[in-house]
Amino acid sequence: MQEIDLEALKVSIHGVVPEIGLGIVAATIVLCNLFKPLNRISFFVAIIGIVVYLLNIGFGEAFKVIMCMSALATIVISGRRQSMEFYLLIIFVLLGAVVLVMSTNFIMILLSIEMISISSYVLTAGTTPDRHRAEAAWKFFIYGSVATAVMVFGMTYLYGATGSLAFPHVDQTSLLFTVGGLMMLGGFLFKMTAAPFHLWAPTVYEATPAPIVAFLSVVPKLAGFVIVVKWITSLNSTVTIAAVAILSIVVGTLAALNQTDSKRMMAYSSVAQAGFLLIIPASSIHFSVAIFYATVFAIMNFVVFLVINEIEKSGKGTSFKNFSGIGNSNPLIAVCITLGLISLAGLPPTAGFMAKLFIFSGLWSKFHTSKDFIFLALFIVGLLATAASLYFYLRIPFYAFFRRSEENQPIKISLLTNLLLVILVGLLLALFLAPGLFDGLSY
Amino acid sequence: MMSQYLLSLLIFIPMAAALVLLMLPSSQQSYYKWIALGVSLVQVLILFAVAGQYSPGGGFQMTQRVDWISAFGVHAQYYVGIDGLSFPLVALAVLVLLIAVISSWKVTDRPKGYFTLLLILNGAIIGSFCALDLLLFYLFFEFMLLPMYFLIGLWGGPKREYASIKFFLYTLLGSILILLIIIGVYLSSGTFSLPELYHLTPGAIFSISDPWIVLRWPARNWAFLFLLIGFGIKLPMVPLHTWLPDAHVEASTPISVVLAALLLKIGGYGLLRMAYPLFPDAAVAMSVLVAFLGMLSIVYGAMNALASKDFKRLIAYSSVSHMGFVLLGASSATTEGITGAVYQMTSHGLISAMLFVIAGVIYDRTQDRRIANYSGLSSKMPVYTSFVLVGFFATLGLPGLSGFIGEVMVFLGAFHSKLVPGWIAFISTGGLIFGAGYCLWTIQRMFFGTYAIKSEATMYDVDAREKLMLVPLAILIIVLGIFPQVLIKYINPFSMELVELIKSSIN
Repeated sequence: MQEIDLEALKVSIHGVVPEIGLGIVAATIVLCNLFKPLNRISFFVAIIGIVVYLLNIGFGEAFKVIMCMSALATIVISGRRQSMEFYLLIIFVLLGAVVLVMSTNFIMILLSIEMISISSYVLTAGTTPDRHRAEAAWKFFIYGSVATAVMVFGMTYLYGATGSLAFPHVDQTSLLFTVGGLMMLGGFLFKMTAAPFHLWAPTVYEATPAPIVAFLSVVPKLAGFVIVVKWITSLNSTVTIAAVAILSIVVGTLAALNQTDSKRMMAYSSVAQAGFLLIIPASSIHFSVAIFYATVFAIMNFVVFLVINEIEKSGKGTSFKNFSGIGNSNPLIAVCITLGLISLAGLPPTAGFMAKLFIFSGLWSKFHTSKDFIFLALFIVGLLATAASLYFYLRIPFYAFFRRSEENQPIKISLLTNLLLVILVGLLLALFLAPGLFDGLSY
Repeated sequence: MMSQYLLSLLIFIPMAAALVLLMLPSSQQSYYKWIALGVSLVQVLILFAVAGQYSPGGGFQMTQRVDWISAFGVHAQYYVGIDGLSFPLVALAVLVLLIAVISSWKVTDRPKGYFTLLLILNGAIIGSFCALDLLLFYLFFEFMLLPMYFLIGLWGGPKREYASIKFFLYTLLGSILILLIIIGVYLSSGTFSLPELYHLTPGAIFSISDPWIVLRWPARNWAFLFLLIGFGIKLPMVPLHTWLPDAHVEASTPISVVLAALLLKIGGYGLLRMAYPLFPDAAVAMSVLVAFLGMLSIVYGAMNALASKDFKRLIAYSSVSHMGFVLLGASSATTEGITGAVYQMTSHGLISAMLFVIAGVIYDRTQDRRIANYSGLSSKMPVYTSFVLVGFFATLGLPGLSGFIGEVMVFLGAFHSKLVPGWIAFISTGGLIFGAGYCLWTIQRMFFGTYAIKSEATMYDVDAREKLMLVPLAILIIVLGIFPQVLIKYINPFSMELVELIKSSIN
């Protein structure tokens, strides 16, 4: 262990002032809750805290911005009547995620991943007793703990192989290093919900309220993704990533085909999307494509979950049948979720098409230069999965427009939700017409 | 100059109108159809302006080119233009879409959604005929998919849901294959713009001089095969045609008209616009396969039509048979054959539109399409019967009507070509005999004999609105049958260029 250099610490601490601020926000929420009259303001503290944090980091660090926006959206959708713990946990997950994105040291990676994980378990369990949520949280917790254990075990190998905890500079080809590196990768892939580390997802997605699922499906996944991208440059094994991508796409798409519940379908869709995201590091595509894909992914996931949330809140379940007739009773949200799902599938005129196009053209050119057939296989699997995925992505529009429901009572939707939906869908269309906005960005 | 914006106006006026329509409150719903009609009439006027500016000859005209996407190493343009292949099809599209609006006049079920989707479809169809940038073409191609899915699935017959999802999955599978090749072509050449694509970089996967070998076959052959399947689904070519009869039977009359007259043509158009010019050597290498599939479509489609008990299914199978001629003509790689193929597409567009309007006329009155349930209609509906005769005689290829010209030129090309084996061309002529068979038999069963129908409905002759649709189609079918030069002078320069390109690729 090297000695801690206090002088260096003094200099480098400036880099994490915004994150420390975020920690203080969390502490403030806890403090507010100690005094009865103040516990109603947790909502505002959380929002103001995140906005201040955003202003401090600036808009250069795209992934952090996406994560903050997701957190803000989740808090706003959930409203201000949630318990204090909810806001606290959202802030904790966010803090873990932004720190993970910045981490260059195994200890920091472990800490931030655990911060995300443990907060996610509690978010899943919720604060009121609920059998389903408790079961989901247990499942999540057990899978998560095993993934973390494997990851930590891998880290010990890496430490043994390199004698250092510093992260991107380790570069060796010894067996110990490779085995350790792959074990660590497993921990990251768990956060990304990539196959075969996805088994917790359907249960958790089904049991948890839609705004939280939206949050958990975007923020930890993107944080895990960034760390995979960083790690893969050290591990130097794009073929492994390509194989994981193929597996995720195949498993996610096939499993989604015969779901009957919108949230379970979205869980498997999330597995497939993780596969598509992994194409980026696998074929060394420029990182700005990752930013584009991540932004679009976050937007379309939120569009879909916003609508699912409205259906859920109206007291019905979230199975496809409950979407019957909303094309007639609530045309706006029906059109919005249709566009969101089309975007997830990757059809024009939505940004999802552009995102897929950039990924596929990058992948094809990787195949072109490397002539390695695993990339051709990945390409063809990706295209076929895109075609097959339309079957399940169109289930909700199918019920919404083609089926009538007995009750024609329109669901009451708040102005805020409508506005948010229109803005997000507008963004999906705008990014289709002008995807160049994101070119050249880096993290 | 105004001329470079004409095509864009043609594409985007319906799209803009769709937006306006969406904004109108439901209390104004009686105006929806008028807006759609207005758009189509304006498009007819623009078409006249286009026709005035367009001079028969080679190359693309009235082009407009603007940079569009330039991000992440992908550079695409908004690039539109027309040539001898696309001009007749654009003209056909404008006319057929006008007829589709008139045919939709009595739609009262959710009119807002219906006319919005119809207008989006309108822009997308014309867009795909005009696009010269492959990515743009693909976008318009995909853009047709969802409106059509909803138009069949929401306003169709009893089994519409099954038919619409089948249509959707088939077409999507085809379009994925097309996208694969588009991206490959782009990476082999660095551009999406069609006119510049004919010279691919050496060393790239699709280069002509040293193509890659994938699974023991040149990558260029794979590419042609993928495009053949992709566009073949749309055409539709046997054995990828099974979505078509279902979609036609379930779709309402105007949607059937658009589907048969325009969407099928995109398949043939794509083959002649992309597959043949981009991979001429592979096209020559696989000409026997293409010709064989053409023959199969012609004969098998006609035999199925002969066996059909449903009036619309019969017309759908006759479409399969007629689009087989497009494949046969293209595979011959001769000027006559290719001109014949394009002629056949245009003429079949008119004929199939007419036949589906005809089928719609009796369906409107009785809600029944079974051929066996009608006989002797000519006594009650003489005017209608005369339109039916024009439509069916054009279908069976009677000289003097447009169907004859296309078919005869395709056969000239096929027999003349060294690429198409004689037996394929010979067996294909069998399609004509079956064609005459199902046409005459249907006329005999439904229109001659003593009047009897299995329905309570009163049968009255065609009304003014139906005449408005049928008369222009009948006139055009006759004009194109007597003065083929009207169209051939536009198509010929294109076919000659394409044949030159194919010839030069062999040497």
